[in-house]
Amino acid sequence: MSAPTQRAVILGGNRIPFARSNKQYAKATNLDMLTSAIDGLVARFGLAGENIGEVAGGAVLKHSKDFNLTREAVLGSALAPTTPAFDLGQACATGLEAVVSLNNKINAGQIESGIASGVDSASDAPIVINDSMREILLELTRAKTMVQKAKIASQIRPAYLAPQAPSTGEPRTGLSMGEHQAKTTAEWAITRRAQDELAVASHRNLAAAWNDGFFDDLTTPYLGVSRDTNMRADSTMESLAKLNPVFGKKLPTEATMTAGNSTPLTDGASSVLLGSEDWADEHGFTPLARLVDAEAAAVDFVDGAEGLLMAPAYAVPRLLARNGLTFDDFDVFEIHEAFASTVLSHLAAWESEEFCTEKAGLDKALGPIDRDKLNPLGSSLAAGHPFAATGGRIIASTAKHLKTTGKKRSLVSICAAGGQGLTAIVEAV
Amino acid sequence: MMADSMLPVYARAVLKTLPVGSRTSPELPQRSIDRSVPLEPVAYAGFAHVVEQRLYDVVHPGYMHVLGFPLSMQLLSDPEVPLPMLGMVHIHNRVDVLSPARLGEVVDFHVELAGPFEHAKGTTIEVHVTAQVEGRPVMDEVSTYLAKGKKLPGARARAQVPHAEFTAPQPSALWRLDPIIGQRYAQVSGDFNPIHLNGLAAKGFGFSRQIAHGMYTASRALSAMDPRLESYRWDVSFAKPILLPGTAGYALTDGRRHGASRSAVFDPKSGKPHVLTQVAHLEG
Repeated sequence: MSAPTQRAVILGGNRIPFARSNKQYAKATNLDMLTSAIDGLVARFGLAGENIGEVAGGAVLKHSKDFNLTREAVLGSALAPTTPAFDLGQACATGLEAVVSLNNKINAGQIESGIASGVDSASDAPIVINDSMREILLELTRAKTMVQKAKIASQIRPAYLAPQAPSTGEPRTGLSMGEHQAKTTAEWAITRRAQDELAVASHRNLAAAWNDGFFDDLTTPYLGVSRDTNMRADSTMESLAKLNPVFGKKLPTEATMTAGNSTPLTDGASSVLLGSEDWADEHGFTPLARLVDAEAAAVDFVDGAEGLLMAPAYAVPRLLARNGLTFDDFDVFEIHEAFASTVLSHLAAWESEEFCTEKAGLDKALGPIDRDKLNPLGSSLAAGHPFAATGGRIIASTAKHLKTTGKKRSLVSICAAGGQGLTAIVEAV
Repeated sequence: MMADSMLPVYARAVLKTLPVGSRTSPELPQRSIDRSVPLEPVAYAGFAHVVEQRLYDVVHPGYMHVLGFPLSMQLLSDPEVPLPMLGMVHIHNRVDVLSPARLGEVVDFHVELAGPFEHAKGTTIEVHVTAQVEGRPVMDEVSTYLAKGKKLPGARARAQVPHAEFTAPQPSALWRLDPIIGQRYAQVSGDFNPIHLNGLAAKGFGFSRQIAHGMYTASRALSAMDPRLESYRWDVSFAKPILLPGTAGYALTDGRRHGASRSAVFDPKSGKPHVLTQVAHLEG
């Protein structure tokens, strides 16, 4: 690859602590939380009144009134009101795609600085009327005479008045993400024990990072919450073993996915500050790391040909090949824990000769990952997963982790609804 | 709305159930109906949304069935038809999609009856629908209706579609069906048969609750299979009806989406089939 004329660097991040849904942030809107995350970043970096090149952000569960969510957040923040913004969406990869997008704009010389952000509230979720009622109401607006209106209104049935709440179900299959993952979990024969171990490690690592003060300059308390509320530092194999399975109960295989090794619905927001090296220099900011490359993949899960959350297993081999890297070249693996078994299915796929040669188009298996390098700061099982905010959490954390430990390279991987996945390489500067 | 035109048909069908003396001939009346119907975008969009078909210019063949349906019912409710229309069960439907029918085109339908035919469980009558657009054949359809338990002397022999063994696969999708789906499909299809709208009416015909339209289930399955073929055979066997509200499982059982394939809609609890579908290339 030719060296870009400008080099984008990751300068820092800020998020509000993530909270389990319908708790402390129950009444906070996406706009409230996103503005707070951005404002915290602005305060930390002294950017009040500054023009930022562009702010990118999004939410997965989004109200139609929030069509310009990120721009509205900018207007409500301490940033100069002349800072442009745009919304984007790639389900749970939204936050990471915001980083990649601004990173590329900086590398292309279009902007000098950017804030990548993401937010989600599973509490203040949009509720819509069902399609029958919606069609009738739209017909009513098209009707011209009272007679036409009366005729259309007469079609309304009591059942049409029931609202539809959003779900984590896939639109094409009607199956929840957990039920989809349960099939993949069974296919890869991921055990309950392995999943619970991953969950325990996630809580342990996240708690250690909080206790070390690692998140002190990556988070700003919000609504009385100063740590991720889903975190259970005292989580043990014994306590997790007591939980009953919640997904895959109708499969012929043993159900292994519980509330303990699955990510809960969470509210939260995150932001990441990016800039060109020159811009960072002018402002006196020390670069933490650099996003070197990114690769997206998608799988055909609709009729079950591949697992819904398996796209990263395809993206990573392509990303490594393009950059001439192997797993040995990485010091950190940040693999988003949608479910413990999602991470373990990806690891199993990369260790599988059959998967790597027949499906991923490689000569041989990618091989195993040193488990000590996996999610060293904890991940979504412990922190929670406010969908579009997860990418920003991971990028800011892993960039700082590289800087503070002197480690060289981190692989970031996020699976997303719709059979998608987005992966990236972050390197120390 | 088609609903208006269907009411006298149902009224006549109800009248036909009254004892009016024995009919002398097992023969069907030699009648047919020809009618031209425009493919109107707004009306079609309603149908497409209900059966979860992406809205574009080519019309879902299930909608062609819908357009031919009132004509079929008009023929079946003829007092000279020797079997009662109400209570007849739609057991099989075969559509040969010969070329794409597009919105804005005017379809010339020709509808006639065939039969009666012997069947292990009674007697069947077939409705044959052919559709053309400016002389170009777009569809041939054979809908098979069974009068359960009615044996007619003089009914002709007919090879039956073999009853395939069915083992339910893992569903790749779950359809959660509210009772409202009966009303929604009735609105867009004009089939206001009360067994789809009302639990009491359904009980009258031996169902514990109201049931989904078979052609709704079949059309939605075809939307999911989404054939990207210029011409194909869409073959549907109806088994157990879906009771509303209910959850149905869907899975491809052979082939791949967009191509020649088979699918099943089934009860995910009992594993019993509701609708079995095959999309196949047309021979020749």
